[in-house]
Amino acid sequence: MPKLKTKVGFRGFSKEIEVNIPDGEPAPWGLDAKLRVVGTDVPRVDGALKVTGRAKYTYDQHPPGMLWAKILHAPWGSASLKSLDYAKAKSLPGVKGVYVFKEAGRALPYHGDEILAIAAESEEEAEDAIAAVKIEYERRPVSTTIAAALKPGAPAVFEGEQNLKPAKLTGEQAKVDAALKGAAKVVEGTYTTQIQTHSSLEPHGTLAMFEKDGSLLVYASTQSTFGVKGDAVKLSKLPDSKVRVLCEMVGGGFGSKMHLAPSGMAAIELARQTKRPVKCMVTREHEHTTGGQRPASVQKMKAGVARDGKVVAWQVEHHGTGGVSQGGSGAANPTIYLLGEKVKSETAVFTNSGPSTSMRAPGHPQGIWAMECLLDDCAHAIGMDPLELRKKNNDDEVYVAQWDLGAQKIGWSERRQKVPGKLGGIVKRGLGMASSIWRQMGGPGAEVDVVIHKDGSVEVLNGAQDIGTGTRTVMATVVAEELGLRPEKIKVSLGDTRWPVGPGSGGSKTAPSIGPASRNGAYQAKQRLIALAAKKLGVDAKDLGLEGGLISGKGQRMTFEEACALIGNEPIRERGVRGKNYEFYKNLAHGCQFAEVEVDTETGNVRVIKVVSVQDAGRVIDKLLFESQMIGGVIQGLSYALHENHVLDKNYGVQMNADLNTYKIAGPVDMPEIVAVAFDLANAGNNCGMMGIGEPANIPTAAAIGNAVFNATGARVRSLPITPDRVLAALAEAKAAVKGKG
Amino acid sequence: MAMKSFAYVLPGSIDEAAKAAKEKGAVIKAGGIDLLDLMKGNITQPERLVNLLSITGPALRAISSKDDGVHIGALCTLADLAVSEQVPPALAQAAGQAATPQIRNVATVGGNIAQRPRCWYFRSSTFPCARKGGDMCYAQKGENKYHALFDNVDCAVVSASSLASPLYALGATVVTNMRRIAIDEFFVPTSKDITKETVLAPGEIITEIVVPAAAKAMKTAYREAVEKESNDWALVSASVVLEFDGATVKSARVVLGSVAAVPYRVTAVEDALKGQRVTAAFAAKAAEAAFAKARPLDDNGYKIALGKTILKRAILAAAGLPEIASAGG
Repeated sequence: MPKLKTKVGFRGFSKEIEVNIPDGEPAPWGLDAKLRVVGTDVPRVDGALKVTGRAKYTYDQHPPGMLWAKILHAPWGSASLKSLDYAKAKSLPGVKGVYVFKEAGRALPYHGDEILAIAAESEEEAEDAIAAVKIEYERRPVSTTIAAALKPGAPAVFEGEQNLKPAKLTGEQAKVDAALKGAAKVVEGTYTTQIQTHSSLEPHGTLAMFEKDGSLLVYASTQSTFGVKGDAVKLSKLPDSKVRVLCEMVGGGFGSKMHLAPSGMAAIELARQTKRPVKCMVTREHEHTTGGQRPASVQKMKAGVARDGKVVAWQVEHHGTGGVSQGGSGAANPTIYLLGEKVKSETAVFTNSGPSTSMRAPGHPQGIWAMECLLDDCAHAIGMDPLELRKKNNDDEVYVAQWDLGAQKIGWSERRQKVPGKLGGIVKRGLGMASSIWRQMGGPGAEVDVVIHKDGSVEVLNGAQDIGTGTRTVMATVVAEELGLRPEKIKVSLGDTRWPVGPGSGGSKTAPSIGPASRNGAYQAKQRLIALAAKKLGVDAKDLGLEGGLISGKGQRMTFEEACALIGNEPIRERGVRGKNYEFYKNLAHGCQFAEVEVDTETGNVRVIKVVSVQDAGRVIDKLLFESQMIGGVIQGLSYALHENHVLDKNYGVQMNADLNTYKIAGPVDMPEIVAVAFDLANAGNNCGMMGIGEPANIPTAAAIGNAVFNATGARVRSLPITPDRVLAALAEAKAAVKGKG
Repeated sequence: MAMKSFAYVLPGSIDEAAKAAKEKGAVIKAGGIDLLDLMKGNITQPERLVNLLSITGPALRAISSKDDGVHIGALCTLADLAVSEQVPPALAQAAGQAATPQIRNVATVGGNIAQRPRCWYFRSSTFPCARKGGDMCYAQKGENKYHALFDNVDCAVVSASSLASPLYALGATVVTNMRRIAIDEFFVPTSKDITKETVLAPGEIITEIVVPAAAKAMKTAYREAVEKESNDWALVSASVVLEFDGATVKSARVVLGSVAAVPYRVTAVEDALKGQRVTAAFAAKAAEAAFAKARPLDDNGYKIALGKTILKRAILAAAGLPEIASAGG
């Protein structure tokens, strides 16, 4: 392991650290590294394909002889399946196969639960067959929300099971109680968040086909080709070598597409049954009911704050529900700040709602919403600037620098209301902010082939997928940097499990895992190319460098293409392997967002005027992709803050808004000005100094907007989404509180 | 969801369309914005679809000013109506705020006032609700945040039409291939018939809507409250048409939208406005009367306060006064 020193930090703060880099890897780019391509605006390499409609998604695959599969879903929030008769459906014209998920007698604990799938020659025939299935349900009472599921005697989601999992306790109540006693002010409040659905533009879906040799080919709309392959191997019981998963383009995943999913199971089973290719795409309705969701939460909190702004006590009683699934319903609260003595109880609650799946920063938007709003309540209680209070509770130099930068970009000191809600008039403006944290440096499990051809072309291959974050472009950029070329000269191929292994796109780990592997592959391929050039030029390879398309040194030079012409029949092919992370400056990505809102205090309408998002990614590889991630994250966060809500009928457990008409997502007219500020960190840790940021972009938006609404109006909305009815109710409550005092 | 198979009729004239529309299971289609959703949701399953868009020529699409008023062709799009200088501001404003630019380019005036309610129980094939001939109104004890405040005992749907309330306030006439229908007679309240929202008979086709010439001298405004600016249904809307005699109101027509199955005229407010000078304080006071008879459900009580604000603003806008008190005021 070669040891070397590298300069880390950011503009305004730097230090040298010693790193032990794995054998054969290039040194990490230091703070002063002069990079030609990395950190510039590199247009998305597949952007033109996408905007011209030439990009091919799973939905677009239509091999000859393909059948369409449709799924019959449970119509009620809770029912048992009394009888199931699909004899008539099976005999209808065009129908070729039936796959049963749930036999008669089974419980159906949520709206949308999969019962059976039918494959037919056309989509319409499959739907007619689904409609012809004779089925009897015995409807059961439902518990659709955390509050409902907690009530004594509430209907059990699973027969004979408690709706509540045992609470997980951390911290000591006695210590918190003592600290609360010593606090200058104690604030409390119950903050709630709603269920949000992923609403990917392309729904879940899979096309499965068995080849003549019995091997299985699967096209999947997925964020984990290798995850789907593992699931398909298990389901089909075929050897690993006989299963291949392809995914060229994905129309969004946001955490919901890590696995094969029921639609994929149906496609594979029906393809085996019918010996025909079978495509099963989920409808929009059932993308909402079964495609996954961000769990809802209720966070009852209490905090004690000292006169100087230090929070001395923090208490959280959290309930979260992932519908019928158990995991993933936690909340990141507390985090980021010190906050003194802490105690937390966490309880997972079953409700009659579709299963949760991971969703863009699982647990974080919920937890940060509650935590950052209560921190503002603390600041308000002692009459302190909310930003000052945060600095009292976290003095990390990166956070502090980002807060100052964000404050300057939004006009914090000039535009914030010094006393919330005190400005006259009906339409009031205010500012708010919140922070994010994300720990993702990537790691092993990614290998990349870099191939340099005799004609000077360069190929880069990995089997994982690009879920739209720009993985292809990141790889092209890193390889271009290393080889002294332009990114558009690099052909990146992704999404075929016959190619080298890559990670599932969860936890923002794809780019920081594949990026450094790509650089390793390019670095090794470069050494071989330089060796060829050295031999030809008659100089020692270690005296030659490759920069700007030229190999030069010791007064000798040769173009990249001239060197490539020296390659023999076999191209240069090097496998870049992602090594373990090593010494770093920071092991987390810091971020913060500042929002300016305008609230119409007569209608309760909140209009977001501007959002400033400051974020590091370790080193930012492509500024355009960075901005794209930030803007997308802010849009999804704004939509979560103000609009999105998965509405279940309280009596029947049916989702009432399982479409994109009444499930409200922010549209073009609702967009604020979004300013994405790349806060570049030279970080080491891996050869690119990269961290993943797909998730943090989405974390603090709702809290920043909620705090801005408070700053504008002096009224605190504690439940998401912040809709006009809730704003009007909070304003009325604030007015009553003032009257009560006076 | 795919829809059921149907015969597709492309008539060349209104007469041909009317003939086809009288056949069993026939449904008329104009822009198709509402109808296609109903078909995909299996709420409407026509055997025969009569597409009025195949009737060419400007007659059904134009906006023209005549002696008796402004004639708006039934196939005129919301986009064209929104930019028309011939129609009163309230109508253009309502058209311009509906849905999205893409939808406004396709949606028609006739289709807009003939559309079915957007209640999510009505639109769900799972619920056999009263308006579909079923047993009960599931909204009463269900998710009723967006539901009716008035005439909501047996069914709590609200009218989804943006144009209905301004046309009602303007005293428009709906002209069909069979007759002329005063707008006051066109809509069917829930208490009268729970299964339909208009008096249109089978085979009856709206050909144009006439806004009376008298409206030209009126001051009009349409205001609505929404949860988001892009593509949202109004939570509550208000259309106000004022006739002035000097500085005082001579007569008024005031109609609320999204509070009942049909446009909801509030004569108490009209009476209060008569003979008065409009001021901010007076507009607020007049708006109070509009909701005296409201019967809020569990989750839609907020519409009362919100509706008062929207109505106040519509009154002020119609009178040409500032709707929102400025800072410090």
